[in-house]
Amino acid sequence: MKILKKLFIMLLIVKFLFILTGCKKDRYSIVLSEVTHSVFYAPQYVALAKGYFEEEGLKITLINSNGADKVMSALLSKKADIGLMGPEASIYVYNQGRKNYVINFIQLTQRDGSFLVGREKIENFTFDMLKGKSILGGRKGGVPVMTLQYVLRQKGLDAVLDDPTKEVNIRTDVQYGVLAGAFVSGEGDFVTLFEPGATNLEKEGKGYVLASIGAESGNIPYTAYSATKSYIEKNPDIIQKFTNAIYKGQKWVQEHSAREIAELIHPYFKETPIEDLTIVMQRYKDIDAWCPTPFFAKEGLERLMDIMEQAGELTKRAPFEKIVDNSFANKAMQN
Amino acid sequence: MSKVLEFKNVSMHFCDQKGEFEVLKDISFSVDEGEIVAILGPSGSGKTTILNLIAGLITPTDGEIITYGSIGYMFQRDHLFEWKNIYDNVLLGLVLQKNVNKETIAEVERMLKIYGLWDFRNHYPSQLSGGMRQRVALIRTLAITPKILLLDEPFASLDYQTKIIVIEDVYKIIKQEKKSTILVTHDIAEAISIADRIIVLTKRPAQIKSIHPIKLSTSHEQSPLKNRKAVEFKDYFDVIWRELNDEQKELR
Amino acid sequence: MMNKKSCDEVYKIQKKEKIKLGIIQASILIILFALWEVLAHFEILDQFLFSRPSAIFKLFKEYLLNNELFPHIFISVYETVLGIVIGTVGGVLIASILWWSEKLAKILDPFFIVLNALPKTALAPIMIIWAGTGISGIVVVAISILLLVTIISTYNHFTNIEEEKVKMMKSFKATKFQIFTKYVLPSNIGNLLNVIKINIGMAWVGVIVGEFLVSQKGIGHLLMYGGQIFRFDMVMMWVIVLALCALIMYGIVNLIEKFVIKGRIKEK
Repeated sequence: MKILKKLFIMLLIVKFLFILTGCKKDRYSIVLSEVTHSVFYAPQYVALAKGYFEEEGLKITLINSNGADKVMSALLSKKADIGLMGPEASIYVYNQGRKNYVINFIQLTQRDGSFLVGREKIENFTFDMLKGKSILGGRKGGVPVMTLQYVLRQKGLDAVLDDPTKEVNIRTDVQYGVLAGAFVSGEGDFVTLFEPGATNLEKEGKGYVLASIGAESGNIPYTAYSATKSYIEKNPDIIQKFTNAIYKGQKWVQEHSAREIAELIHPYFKETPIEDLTIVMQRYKDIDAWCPTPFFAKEGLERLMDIMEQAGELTKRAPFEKIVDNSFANKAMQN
Repeated sequence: MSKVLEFKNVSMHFCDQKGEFEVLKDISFSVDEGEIVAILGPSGSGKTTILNLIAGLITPTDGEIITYGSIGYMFQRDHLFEWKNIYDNVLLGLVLQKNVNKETIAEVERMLKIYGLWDFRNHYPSQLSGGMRQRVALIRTLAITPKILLLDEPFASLDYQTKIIVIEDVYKIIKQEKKSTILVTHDIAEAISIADRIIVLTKRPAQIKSIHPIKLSTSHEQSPLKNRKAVEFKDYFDVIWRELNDEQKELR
Repeated sequence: MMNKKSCDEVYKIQKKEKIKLGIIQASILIILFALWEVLAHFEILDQFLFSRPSAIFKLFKEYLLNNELFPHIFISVYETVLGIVIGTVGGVLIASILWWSEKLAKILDPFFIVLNALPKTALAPIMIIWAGTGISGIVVVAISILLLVTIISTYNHFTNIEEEKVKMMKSFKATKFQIFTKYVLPSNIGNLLNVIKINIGMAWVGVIVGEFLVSQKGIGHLLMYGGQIFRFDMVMMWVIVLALCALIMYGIVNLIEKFVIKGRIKEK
């Protein structure tokens, strides 16, 4: 009997603890899902490192969802509160007619973050050197491939997906995680890579960064923060606080050197040496990759939709007023 | 009568974790052509070891074994291959020895016919009774025309009625084909009913306790069943039973 | 006369039972799909994430009419079958060698255990880089998932044979080779077919993972693509197609099993 009693009390204690930890979820504890863990999102890591979120009274739990579709799923199934991903996801979702669609409220990056890498160092690289060659572009339906195709077509090249008979063959058979490895093992003549992958390849002498796709594409909203319509309606104060914090991070990035940014965010990217991180930060600064403010410009979204249409992935354009809400950005900038 | 088997001072020991354990100690005996010799002994006394030694599956640690002729070994379980039919099963031994030709096939078919299995040659083992399966196993063993037949408790898994019938048949077959046989069993009555001589072993390490030549007044009828009713049967049984009992007692 | 009649009756009853079973299974399936449709309709299930049977069926018809269904199915099935065949044959071969040489088996045993514990899907990118993008890489990933398990379970079956049967064969002076070809292998045909059944599922996992990473065509490619463009109805449709493919392959192996085991009745 004594043992039974002890067990019963233990069970009660355990249950109590569960309730405690369960109840602990307060409003200001935010789950932020990012599409990938990348140095491209430096302003966010600056905000984390400098404690800007805490200043606003927010506690951030960051999860790496590895893919825009998974970030979107996390938002829609309420596993995450705010998502960081390409806004094309919100366009797709809106077009599918979902009532509780997803709205973007901060634009983080305004350039394509990938770089064209080749096997040989080419001085004075021009894009028509790509004639008759193949490029490992990433997965079909993803924005990097679509942007690459858009940029090449702007340059007057007949760039087609998976067709070796055309002027430039953009291969979509290799996924992002395996791009660098496949290129090194001999696939494709060129490859587009994000950082720090491109710089890593250069360091090992396996490739040379020849051009920035972002520099050629003009202003496109490549990455943005979004949340479901219902979440924003229920928690406008949280969205505002979040926007304020990110804005502070964006300002800091604009006002500091590549080296300073690298040193600050290095703890979040320990695998990359500070010297390499500095090179990458400089590259991004050179192409003006980061938005100075959270404001999400309409022409950027329209250009993104042009790119998607041209790639044949968009059948219907989504209205800017519905899927972008700049009120929080504006308020943050006023302060 | 020529000898077909000689055991000369054979000893056998095995090694296990606890060290050496002796199974057979200084065993000497011989078997004549056409004889049926039964080996009886308390359990674990190394009866099967003797058969394995004769078959050449293991070598003795001491002593000498001489066999004059090929060996056929029959086990307690028939070990027929379930996925082969009866015909293919009886040919197995010949196939393994690469000795399948017109003569050997004819011999096998003859045995199948005589022993009532010809109609079942395309059946599968699971469709036959235990007794029939043992008969198939016997034909498989006889197919390679061995000079010496080793039987390791081949009737133990049969029910009593079947056992009597099968023993009757097997005895006739052995005497007809003139096979020299060494039978290992723990069934005293069975041994007395078919053997020409019975060797009784001591407990482990086994030595020969006694050898009993079996002379029954019913011997000429060549029927183990009738032998069981012989006048002398009971006496042999008592003597041997007591000998085995002595050995078993010491085990307890 | 009496006996024959009752046997026929028993047979009829057995057949009826089988049909009943099939009806119950089909009903469960239909109810599940109906439930899915209803829940999606009333928005209890998020249509966006889970889609609904009617939308999936519509998409399926489109694909069928545009003849876009079979090229993808064909290539994935081809890759899977290749993976199963090479992996199973290779695995059985290696298990046979291990059976032959006990020494080798003892030496390699800990290595196999460690290799088996490694999550092969996590190593897929490395394998693809080594084996090449395209079908070779994908098939290698599929083989990697099923090879070790095939070796280990086949080896276990080979060593779990009856020692007395081996003794019986040795009493006929059988060679090791004969023991293997006439006993060990034939007595394990049923087990090998079971191994193949298990390998079907594992090969599909490998093929889909491989196609996720590198492919231009195939079911895995489309699953990934559907996710990229947020067409979850497409994703669901291909999942169902995938399930059907695996089921059909399983059914074929079952038929082969019945054909082979025909006449052979299992040991008691």
